[in-house]
Amino acid sequence: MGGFGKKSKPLPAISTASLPDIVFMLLFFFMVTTVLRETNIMVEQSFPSASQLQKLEEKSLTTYIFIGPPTKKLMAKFGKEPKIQVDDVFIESKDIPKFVVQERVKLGEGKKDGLIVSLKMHRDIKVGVVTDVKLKLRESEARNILYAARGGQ
Amino acid sequence: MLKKKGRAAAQEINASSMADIAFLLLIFFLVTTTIASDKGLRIILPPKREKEQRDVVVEVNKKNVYTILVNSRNQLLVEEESGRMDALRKGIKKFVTNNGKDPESSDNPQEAVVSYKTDRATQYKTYLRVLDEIKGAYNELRAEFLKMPLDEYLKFNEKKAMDDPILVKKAQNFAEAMQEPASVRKYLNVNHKKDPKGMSDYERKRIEAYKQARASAKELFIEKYFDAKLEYPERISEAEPTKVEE
Repeated sequence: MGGFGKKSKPLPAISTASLPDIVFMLLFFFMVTTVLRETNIMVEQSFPSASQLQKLEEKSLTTYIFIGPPTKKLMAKFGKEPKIQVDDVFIESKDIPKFVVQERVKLGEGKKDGLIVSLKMHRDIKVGVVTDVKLKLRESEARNILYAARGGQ
Repeated sequence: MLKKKGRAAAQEINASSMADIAFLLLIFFLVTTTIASDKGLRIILPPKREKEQRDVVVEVNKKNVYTILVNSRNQLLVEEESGRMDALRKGIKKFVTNNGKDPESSDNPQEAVVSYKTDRATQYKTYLRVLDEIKGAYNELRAEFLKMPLDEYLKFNEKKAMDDPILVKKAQNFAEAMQEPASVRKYLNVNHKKDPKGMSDYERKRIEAYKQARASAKELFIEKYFDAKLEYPERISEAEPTKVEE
């Protein structure tokens, strides 16, 4: 039956010798890009959605303020009301100027004016809390702020 | 017999499990990595209020102000009528680009102010949505001015474009121009085809300098990009939330 039944030469097995190399390359990529989170977020995070998003490029100049109801574990201790978290502690809005000064010191003399505050706030909190924080930031001349949001409506 | 054979050549280490080990590590890092996406709406707060001093009162003609109020039940009051969220962007665009057509609406985009006030009990989600719509209206206008689609406009990275030393110079010029008296800006951006009349020598010099900076066509786009910002300056006036009437 012609060439149909003819067995062609068995294909040589694909060499997997380079597989570890490839995987290691990926591994190194992730190791390099991974930034292990320094702070433990103690508030619920669910950002509101927005369409006119801007990306924050200057990571080193950015400092974060998290606002939202405490996570389930901490709810028993701190209640349901939204809390303000910076670094690893809950603070009151009146402590924000002190926090801003600290962050400025961390940035150093040359860069301290470029401070950007990223406000990571839960979508269901009330504007009153946001305003208190904003007023304090304004008082401490940290005027460049970002409302964290996610894409899509 | 076999034992003897094995002794002859040094046994090669079996490297086939290497891939597995590497995969394990890889998966660990994949799981722990949080690619922090810092996206959001950027705003710049107004300067600090001095003690005992109230905010500077700027007289703005009422017709140049587009008022948006949001109450504690997240309901909108736009220009004294109840408004819908999805009609907001269109309304703002119409208001900003009125250019004196409707005597009750804004004179020109440079004068137009969007005033935004919420209740302390308004949801943050709603607050941000309205802000997003205001920004969206301005971005759409700017994108139209540049004749490019909105998403492309949003993707354009001002900062990266500015790594170019020539563009840095442009940006400085732009920053300077922003410091200029309104008359210079107006001349440069609105009626630069007309003769400069009734301007001081200083103003005329600045205009010349700015024109020269413009002359090099290489960075025409980024100039236009800044022009778009000057043509439609985002003038959002945010009032401190208090009780908004239902």
